[in-house]
Amino acid sequence: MKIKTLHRSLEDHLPTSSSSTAPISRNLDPALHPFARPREYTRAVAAAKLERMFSKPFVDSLEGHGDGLYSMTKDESGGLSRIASGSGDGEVRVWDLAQRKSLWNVQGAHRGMVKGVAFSHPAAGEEGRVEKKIGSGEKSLKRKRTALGDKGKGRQDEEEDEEEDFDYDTTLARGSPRILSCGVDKTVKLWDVTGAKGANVKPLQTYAGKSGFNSISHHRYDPIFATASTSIEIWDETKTSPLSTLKFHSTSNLSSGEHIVNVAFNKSETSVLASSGSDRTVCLYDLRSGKALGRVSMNMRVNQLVFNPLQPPVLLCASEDHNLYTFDMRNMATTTQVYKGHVGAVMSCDWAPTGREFVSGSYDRTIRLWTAGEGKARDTYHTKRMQRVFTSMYTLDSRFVLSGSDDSNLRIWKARAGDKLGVVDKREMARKEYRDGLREKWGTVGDVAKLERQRFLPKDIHNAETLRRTMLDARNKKEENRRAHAPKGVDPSKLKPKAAKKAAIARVES
Amino acid sequence: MVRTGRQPRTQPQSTTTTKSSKPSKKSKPSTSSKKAASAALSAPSTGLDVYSYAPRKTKARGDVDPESRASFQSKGKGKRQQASEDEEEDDELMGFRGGGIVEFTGVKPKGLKMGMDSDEEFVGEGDEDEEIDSDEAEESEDDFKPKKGGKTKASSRSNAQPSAEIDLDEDEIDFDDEQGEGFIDASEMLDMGVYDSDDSEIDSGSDDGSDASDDEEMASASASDDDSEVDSEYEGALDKLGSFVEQLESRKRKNEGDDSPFGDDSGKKKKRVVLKERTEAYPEGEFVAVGAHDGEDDGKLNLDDLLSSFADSKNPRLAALRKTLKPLASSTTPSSSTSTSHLKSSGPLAAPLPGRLQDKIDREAAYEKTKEETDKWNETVRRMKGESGLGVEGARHERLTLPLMGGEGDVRRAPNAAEWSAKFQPTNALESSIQSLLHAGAMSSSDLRKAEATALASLDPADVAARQAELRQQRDLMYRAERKAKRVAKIKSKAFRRIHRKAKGKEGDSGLSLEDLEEMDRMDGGDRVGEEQNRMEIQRARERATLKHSSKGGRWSRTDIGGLEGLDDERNSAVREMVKRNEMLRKRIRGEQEGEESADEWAEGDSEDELGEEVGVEGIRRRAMDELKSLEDKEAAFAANQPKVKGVVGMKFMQDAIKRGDRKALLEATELQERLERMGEQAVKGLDEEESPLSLSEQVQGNSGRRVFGPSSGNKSIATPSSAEPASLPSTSTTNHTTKLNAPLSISTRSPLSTNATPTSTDESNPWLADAASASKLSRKSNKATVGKDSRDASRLADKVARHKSRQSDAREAEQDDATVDIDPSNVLASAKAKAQPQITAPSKEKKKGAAGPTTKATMEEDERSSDEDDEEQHEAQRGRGQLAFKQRELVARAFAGDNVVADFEAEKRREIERDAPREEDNTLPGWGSWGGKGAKKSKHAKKFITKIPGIAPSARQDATFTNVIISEKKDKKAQKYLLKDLPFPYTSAAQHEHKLRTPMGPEWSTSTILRDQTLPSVLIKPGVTIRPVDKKV
Repeated sequence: MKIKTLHRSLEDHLPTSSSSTAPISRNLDPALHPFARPREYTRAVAAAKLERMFSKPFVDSLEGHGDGLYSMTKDESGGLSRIASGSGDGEVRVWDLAQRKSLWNVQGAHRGMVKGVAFSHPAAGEEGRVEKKIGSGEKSLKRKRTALGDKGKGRQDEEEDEEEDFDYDTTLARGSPRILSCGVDKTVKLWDVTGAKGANVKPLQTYAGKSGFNSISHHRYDPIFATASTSIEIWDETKTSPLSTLKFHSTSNLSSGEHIVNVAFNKSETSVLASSGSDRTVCLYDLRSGKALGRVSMNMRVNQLVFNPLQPPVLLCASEDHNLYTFDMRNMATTTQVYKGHVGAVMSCDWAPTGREFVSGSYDRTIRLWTAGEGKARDTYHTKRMQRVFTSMYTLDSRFVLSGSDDSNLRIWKARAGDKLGVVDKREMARKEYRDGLREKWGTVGDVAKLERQRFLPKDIHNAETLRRTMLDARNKKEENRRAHAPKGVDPSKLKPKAAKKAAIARVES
Repeated sequence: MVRTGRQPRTQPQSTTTTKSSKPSKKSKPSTSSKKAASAALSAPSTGLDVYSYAPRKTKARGDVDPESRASFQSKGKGKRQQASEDEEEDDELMGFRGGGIVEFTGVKPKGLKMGMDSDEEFVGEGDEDEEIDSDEAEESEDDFKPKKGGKTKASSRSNAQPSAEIDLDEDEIDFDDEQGEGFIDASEMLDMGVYDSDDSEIDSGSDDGSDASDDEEMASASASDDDSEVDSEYEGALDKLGSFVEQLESRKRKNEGDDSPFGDDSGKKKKRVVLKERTEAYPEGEFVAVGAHDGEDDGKLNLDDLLSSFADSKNPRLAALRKTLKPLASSTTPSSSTSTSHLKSSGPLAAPLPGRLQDKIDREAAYEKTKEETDKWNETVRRMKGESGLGVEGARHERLTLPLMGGEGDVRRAPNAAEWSAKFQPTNALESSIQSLLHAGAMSSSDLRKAEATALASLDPADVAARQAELRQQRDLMYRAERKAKRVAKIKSKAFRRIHRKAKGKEGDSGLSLEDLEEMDRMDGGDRVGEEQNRMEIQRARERATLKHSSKGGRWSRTDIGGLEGLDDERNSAVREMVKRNEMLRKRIRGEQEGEESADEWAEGDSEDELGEEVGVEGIRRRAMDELKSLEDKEAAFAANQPKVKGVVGMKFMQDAIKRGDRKALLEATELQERLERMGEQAVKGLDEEESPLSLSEQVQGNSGRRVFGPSSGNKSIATPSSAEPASLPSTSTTNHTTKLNAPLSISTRSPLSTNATPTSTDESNPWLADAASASKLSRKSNKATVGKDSRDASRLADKVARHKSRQSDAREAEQDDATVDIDPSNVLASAKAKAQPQITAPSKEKKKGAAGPTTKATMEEDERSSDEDDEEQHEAQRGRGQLAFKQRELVARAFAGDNVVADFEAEKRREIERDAPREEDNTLPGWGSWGGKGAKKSKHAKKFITKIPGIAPSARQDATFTNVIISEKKDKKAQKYLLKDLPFPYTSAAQHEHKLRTPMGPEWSTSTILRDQTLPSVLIKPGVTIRPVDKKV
């Protein structure tokens, strides 16, 4: 028998712990809250204003390079706070972001500009080694690293090596001890980051090519890397000559002065590579077949391309035409989204490790942050002293954004401008989340929309934007006129404007 | 194609032969066609169609076609071939396709050339003619295929022409090099022993050179397949065969006679017997050994001859070469020189494609493969995007938690039993021994599966299917029953349980429902349903007998007996009565034995000791008379032995009062007696008359749902005649009664029946007024007057009928009135005045009455009456009729007197339109900026001060077409701020967006869990940890 009695428990009205607030009982009947919407809107406005007030994205700038930064890389094998950069004077530096200082450097690593840097993998048995899981359905050709300098130990040793494979706990990773750098001096060099530093450091290995290298990308699991020069070359770290050369036309010798600008491995579908060439093409390759897969010619050259880390088929391209494009690599005939906003050539881009956002650095001296699938930038970062941004990057915890620019500084920015650094109280976090929720909910309405949208940019950028808009309008107008006043005989299908998503694509080749 | 340094066999002949081939064909189409037919037929009949067909297919498009080549090299090509087969018809339509391709590839198309040479070929089989190199080249060259036989072949060949798929981008590629010219079967090259430097010579070569061997092959093939040929070539086939054989023989003879490989040429081309000039003893060439011609090889060099030199060498590379050349070598041996022998080999050696084309094909194939691989990531991508639909229900987002756990996304799945068992490996002795035992006893899962398979194999497949279907059905039924049981088990209602228990008990031992039984009956023809119904019937009867069905009875018998010990008799009688009533009601519900029995019941209900045979009205009457009589007797006796009363009662006024009461009672009694007597008479009459069954019951108060049974129904028969003779009722007596019974005065003056008979009693200026006001009101009042007066049953009944009728008609009329009436104040006023008269007079009458009746009681009654009247009138007014309604209407009319609503509205709208209309405002300040006075010119700047206000033109207004509506064209500038131009991205309708904004989000309006769910970010990142790229497909 259940007897209803009046029961008042103190527990219902007291906080569960000394730090938490007393529970408040409320009547949730909407009739009792007649002004819920206006109140919420006001809160949303306040949240948006607070967000703007607290947005101080610039964290620090790391000085050290004597020339502009033209390449940068993160240590994907686990060193969260470790990054490396290469500058125009041929210096390579490794930085620790947490300490905000340079850990290692080598001056004169290359004669001339360092065009690309990439961390190598920890060798088998080395700390920080990450292995692909066996039995994931994908047949991975295992390439075992032999000790450097060893010219082939023989089969038995390699098999022994295989047994030593182990899954590395990613949280304890210190990162890779070696770094690869490539320069315009037609060499790729492998350096030991843990060893000596300074001017007279000898590389562990030097790989010589026939022409200057523009970009380097390391395979996710195997000790092989790809370089971009006049063609894509695949190298084994232990061998001084390339394993193979990938070209779109295997017969052509690309003597016309065209070169590959950028090359990128897909980190998940690990045998797939993408490259962009100075001939305005974006090309895909597969190591399994050793062939090119197809390519697409765009209207302007692509300066950098990156595969999405969590969505393997998605490819992001930073284009010279001030825009960014995402592709699905299975259908290169159309872009999936155009990201407009920069007023200068986009020199670099990088996905956030969440795969839902990315950053781009541009010749217009700004860094912009984007959400995948949204055509306008979420935020724009700039400082007075920052020059052309040639390289930009997300850190591996998705909290910071790095930029390397012409002014020889490496800058650290928050990925979310309004984030608070340091320890955040749980309640504070909850409030922040609530404010974010409100901003998102009301982000399209009234003042909230305006606050969310509006960014005050330096005058030159602002003017450039205005100019760009004018130019685009004029161009559109001209096109319209052309269509409207076309002679009668003209095929109407030819007059049709090209779909915006396909506008940047000139030709698709298979 | 390999170029040889050797001189072609016949330089001049090359042109002549091609030319001569045409007339030769024309001259003997029958033979050539036959040949072709035999060639076509021989392939399938010898069961070699696979070989003969496949290379044709692949090579049909001409020698340099990259696509066909690719089919040899890449798997991806197979698909394309399929696709091209689908386009069979298209290709057939486009006869010139072959030419088109060839044009693109930059190779001189054989088909095209042949078209120039022989129209016949080109038109007849536009797509199958471009065989320069292939094995059929030899055959097809002069095979002129009959359309009938060759059609399938032609179409199948045309299949292999995906010419349209080739991208013309590559046209910059230089194809002038001989590489692209074609690929020639190595065996054939060797066969011919001669290499031509020109295409045309290949033709000619195939025309003549190879024909020697080929025709022989053909002959043998056709000879072996005579019957099949006859089948197809039924028209004079035998004759043709004869001539054909003859011709072959002659040709052979010629061949034998002529050593040279071109010997058959002369046989073929009868008209041109121009033998070429021979400059050497035998055809020279780098592969033609000296004196080779004296053997049976006709001077040709076999591949074997070349290979023999390194047959014994140990060099592994040579061995490999030997291996690859083996099929070719065997094909060249004359022993196996049938038409199919070289087809059996691994196929022709293709000349390599131009690098670019080869690349293109490779790329396409590789891309397809890579796409396939990449497609496996689709599910992962969906999850990473948060679009997989696996998120928590009602959650705002599908959350992605990073870093991914175990590299396989945030999804972990435990393997199921089957996976475990498949993977199971015994680790210790016990497990392994058990497994070995299982194996020994053939009990392992695979063994069992095998055993099952064998058992199934022995059964009839139809039988197996039927059994499976049955099993499936059973399983399905079981599943459903299970589901139902589960659902029922969840029900907590006690009442349901009780009923359910009863229902369970009620169901027979079989525990089956009627439907089930019916089904079973249908199956075996039994009568289970009938039995079951009988059983249930008995059970029901038994239950009725035990009174258990009556909860009331049950309660009486169960609970109350103990507590009411002392009232035994009373209780018993009450229970009995209740039971009886219950039974009777049940009967009535069942519709059994209405009529007399029911009346009887009622009679019995009144007095149980009365005799049962007294029936109906007669009984009632008699009883009433008896009662009256007994009362009178009693009174008389009382009066007789009345002792002298003392005290107050004995006083005079009291005595008077008593007497007056007595007199009244007496009057009543006599009246009753009278009426009863009359009833008696009429009952006799009425019994004769037909009684409709409906008349037994009577509608009460016009409520058709409520019926009165019993005495009133019996009285109806009396009521009808009584209405016929209204005058017989003494009006005086009625007045008496009515006054007592609080009847309104206005009716009591006349009998209700008479009012019904003459409805139009008042003076009417307005026809609908009269109806509404007087008739209904009066009838209403009469209702009041009669209700509750049990002595006047007859009149009451009649009244009821009349009232019902009148009410219906009144209602109808009222409705009509309401529909049609227009308020016309003057008219209404007039009628109201007319009506006011009786209204005023009525009270005065009452006053008179009141004066007549001196008691205070009368005044009390009056008050009540008047209040009653008021109520009535209120009611009437509400229903839109009656005087009060008119009063109100009048009131309304007065209240809104002078309100010109329509005109006002129109004026207002006009004003609105004018205000919004575009206009010009003159802002000039007179006297400023210009000269004034006489002769002053108008300023140039006058225009400057005129502001044009672009309003909204009257025709452009939103309410332009609506006469009765004003839609404001003003815009709320403040609200404008909050209005959106476009619908934001994720929403597909404004309603969605509205809903989103309407649902508040915050601690005040939602619980903490919901709030958390609403506000939690869609990507949760563990701080300070590297987020790795995804590495496993979900």
